[in-house]
Amino acid sequence: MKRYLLKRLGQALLAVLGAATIVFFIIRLSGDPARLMLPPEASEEQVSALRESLGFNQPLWMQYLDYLRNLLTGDLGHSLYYKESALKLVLERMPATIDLAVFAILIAVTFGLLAGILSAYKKNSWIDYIVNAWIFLTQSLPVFWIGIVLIMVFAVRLHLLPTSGNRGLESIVLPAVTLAAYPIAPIARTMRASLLEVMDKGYMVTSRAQGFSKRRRVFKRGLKNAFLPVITVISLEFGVMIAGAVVTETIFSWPGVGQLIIQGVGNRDFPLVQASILVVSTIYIAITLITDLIYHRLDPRIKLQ
Amino acid sequence: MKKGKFLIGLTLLTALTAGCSTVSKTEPAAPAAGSDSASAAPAQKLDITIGRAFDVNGLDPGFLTENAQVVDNIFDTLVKRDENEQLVPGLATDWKQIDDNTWEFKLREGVKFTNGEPFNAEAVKYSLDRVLDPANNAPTASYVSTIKEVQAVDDYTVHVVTKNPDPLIPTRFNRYPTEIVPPKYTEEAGQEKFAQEPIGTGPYKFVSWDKGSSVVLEANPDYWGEQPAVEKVTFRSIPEASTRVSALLNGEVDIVTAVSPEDRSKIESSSTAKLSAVERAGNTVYVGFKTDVKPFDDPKVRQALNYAIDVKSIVDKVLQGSAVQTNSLIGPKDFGYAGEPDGYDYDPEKAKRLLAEAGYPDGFSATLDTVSWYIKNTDVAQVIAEQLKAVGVTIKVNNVESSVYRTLVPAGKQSDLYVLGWSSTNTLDADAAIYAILRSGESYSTYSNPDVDAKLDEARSTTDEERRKQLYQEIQGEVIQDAPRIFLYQENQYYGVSDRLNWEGRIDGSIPVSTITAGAADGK
Amino acid sequence: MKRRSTPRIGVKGSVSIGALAAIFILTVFAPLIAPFDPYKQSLQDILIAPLSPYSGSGGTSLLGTDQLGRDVLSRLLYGGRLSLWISIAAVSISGVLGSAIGIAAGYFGGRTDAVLMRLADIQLSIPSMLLAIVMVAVLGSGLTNIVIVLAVTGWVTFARVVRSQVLSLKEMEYVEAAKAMGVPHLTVMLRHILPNTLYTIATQAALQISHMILLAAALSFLGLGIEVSTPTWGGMVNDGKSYIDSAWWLSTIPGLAIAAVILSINLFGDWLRDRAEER
Repeated sequence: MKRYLLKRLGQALLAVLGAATIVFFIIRLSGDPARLMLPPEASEEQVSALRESLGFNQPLWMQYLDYLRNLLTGDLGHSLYYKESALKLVLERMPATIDLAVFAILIAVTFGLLAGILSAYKKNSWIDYIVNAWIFLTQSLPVFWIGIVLIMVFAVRLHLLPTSGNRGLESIVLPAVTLAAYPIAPIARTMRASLLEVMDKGYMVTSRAQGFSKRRRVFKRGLKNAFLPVITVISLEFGVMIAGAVVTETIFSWPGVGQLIIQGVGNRDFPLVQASILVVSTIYIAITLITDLIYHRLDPRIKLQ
Repeated sequence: MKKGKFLIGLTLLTALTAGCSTVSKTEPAAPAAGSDSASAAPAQKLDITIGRAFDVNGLDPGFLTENAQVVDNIFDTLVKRDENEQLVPGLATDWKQIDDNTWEFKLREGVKFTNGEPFNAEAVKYSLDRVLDPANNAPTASYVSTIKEVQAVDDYTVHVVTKNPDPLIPTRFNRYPTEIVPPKYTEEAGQEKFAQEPIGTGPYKFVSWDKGSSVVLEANPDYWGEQPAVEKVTFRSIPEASTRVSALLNGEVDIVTAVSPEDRSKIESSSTAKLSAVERAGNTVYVGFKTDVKPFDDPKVRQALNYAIDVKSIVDKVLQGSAVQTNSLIGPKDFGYAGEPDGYDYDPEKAKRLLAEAGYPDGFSATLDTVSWYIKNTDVAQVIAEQLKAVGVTIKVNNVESSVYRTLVPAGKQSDLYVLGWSSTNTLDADAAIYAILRSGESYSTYSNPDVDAKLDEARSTTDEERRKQLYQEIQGEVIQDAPRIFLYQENQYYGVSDRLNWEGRIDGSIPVSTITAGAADGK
Repeated sequence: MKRRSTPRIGVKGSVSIGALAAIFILTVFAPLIAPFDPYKQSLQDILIAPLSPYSGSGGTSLLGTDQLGRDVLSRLLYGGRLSLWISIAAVSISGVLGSAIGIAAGYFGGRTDAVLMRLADIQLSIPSMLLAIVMVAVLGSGLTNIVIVLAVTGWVTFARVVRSQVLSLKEMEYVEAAKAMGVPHLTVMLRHILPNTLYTIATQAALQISHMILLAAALSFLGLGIEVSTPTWGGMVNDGKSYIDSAWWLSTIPGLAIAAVILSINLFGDWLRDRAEER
């Protein structure tokens, strides 16, 4: 186990470095921050002076070596716009992001599993059809539609909840529900598919001859295996919530990292984007690791290698 | 600073005489105070929230990468604008041009920064010098790049020396980056800290900044002007336009900026808020031609396309009246505005005739770039495409991502037809409204006309107001004739204001919180 | 097949096949069916509600008009073609690629798994908006580019989900037996692993369709891909964003159309699966 974790840690470092490297280069393909930082009236001389002072006129490989050198000392650079530590800016936004993601994933998992189990056990009944129609509807309506309608109903008409901002428990309800709406469908569908797999597949048949207790064991194992894809989907959706809840954050003016990343991309704030990708990829890798550990837990035959 | 004590007597004297100079009619009263604020002021102090589309990136007025809506409440400029957009004394009590390249500002005495530092000529010099220093790369240095040097003549007299005659010096000292910062604190704090904990002389002082969410300010009890009615103000960022309006209707915020045209009726029909429309406060939007590219190098083609567009129906139907059709290059509140000139009527037959004369009887194809900066940009572009189709010109509309567009256009890499909007922003002068988009060689200009160039250059370097007006009128006539663009409209701006407050949006886009007073509904 | 020579189609089968056939016919033959030209603007008839008459030309607008007075029904019919084409193309590419990666990672484990899954982690942490902007800046816009961005962002889901299933499948007796008998890896993966993951893959594919339709529209908003006047379902949904409470039909109707498609695809998938069970 210890060896395994060490190995994964090594891999994680490589992967984070990989993500950082890719983002380092592709964001430089996307354009130049100097032009964007200055007002339109600024002259070309000013633009190139700024570019030079920011060091973006140097050859790419030199910029990259500088970046790596600073990375080793833990310096992720200063945001071009905020003029302060990029890493600090990202970490400041993390609590709000995690609050929202945790609330949303709890809602999505609760309703997703419930809908999936219900529609699997009542396969081909009206309940199955209604549950499915409903979850597909929520999946087909875009996030902004759900968000705007929720605001119109619960804030403007009923005055029950605030429209936006991150101020207390009541302000998290609408964004969390909005963010949860989409992943309910994948969770429910994957749950349903996996359950049916177990219920219909050979477990019952093959183990009938081997006696009830064995059969139960096999079924239980099957059920655990059925959970693997579901857990995978949940972990994927959770990751997306951490890094990509941009639309929900924008609609509810939720001060999370998603907005910060998009703002950084829009401004070509290279250090800020690089720092946020570093944080986000670390989180993704951690989530994947936890998912793999859960696999092993559910089915010890899946080796940790 | 050393000569300070020695000169106090003298400066007091000059300040007194300055008090009766021509410019400073409204002396010691704060330009901020509205006419009815006297009656509203004794009421309980207001605590308000303003919903804007963006959070600030930083609060250092010398290094802004956005507009100065928030920081202008913390800092003062030497020159201010009153509610009629006239220049009035701010931290300067008087200013005048003393020779071609020198302007003299007399400073207000007895003003202190909120940390106790005195406001004086050194502070003015320091504030400008740090922006002008090329090593600092201040983003908005171009706004003051005509300035060669700022000299502190004595404690309360400043000479601004320009490289060439600059008629816009007083205007420039109304606008960021010329807010005055306290030299000692700014130096000690350093750029990073100052941008997060700014200190100024303004009617409000900084309280807190929750990044990505809000900035809180409270009234500065030692303010040199009149005490405002609003005691505490929170600027909240609510990026989504419809959420902003919902927050207003739900009573969470008291003022919202950038109300989208579709949301106007929601506010108008509300019983708790009202709409404040500022006509022609936005960009003058046009379709630019690359005038050096075939077929747009032919003025006949450019005129033909102007005749082919039914601007009135675009403004009325597509924009639902959220803009005003105009051929003027210059906004009505800008210096240099000369009424509404005649342009091109909607006349598709004439357009076809002109195209045929230019050698394109069967039309041609082109791409029109557009960008989300303008009201309903894709809708307008599609209607233009459809109307041009009627005269045989096939248009492909290309919606370009905002940050990409901002690098494409200055590099000249946009399509041959492109939507762009421009305004004088808060300088309210024709120079800012047209120079950058008409002068050949400027990065946003795709037009080249030596005569217009010469006039533009002259107009920005003569201080003779009549001459400037005349030049701008001539430029306008020539440009309309030459048609380097399809003339469209100038956008309006809309604010939503809670009934508990009294406030109207301003044409320069600023939100001077000290002008906000309690409304009729506040007592309910 | 043993029990019944002709398997019963049933409600599920007939409804889903019927719906898919109807969607196929309606979109493919849109030019014949659509009541109006989907590009034809009519500034007199902006935002008229469903079932209201047109002002000038006469005729009724069954599903209303959009903000430029274009007929929503006609745009819906035309819009389905591009939306479905793009999303099916993107889902196919990412599905094949992702499933192959997932099977390989799960089956071989060890270093292969580590490399592929860390690649997936890297892929996930790069925002699709950044990819899109780079695409626009470097390659310009175009349908192919939009499919590439969609496929590149989509494969991870397939890879992860398929891998998780393969992890347990490869421990099954029959897989172990095949391996012990020296059956080549590729054969084991194709014969014994792939068939058992097909339903999972199909489920994910159906789920991804709607995601891709909406993402394609979001990317077009960034200037990647589709010309603005071209009707697509995702684009129509986006167009209606400012009108959600004043003209509900703009966003809601194409949203319902997307829902109908993925519902039918899922029903069809379920039906195929039920049939396979019956055999």
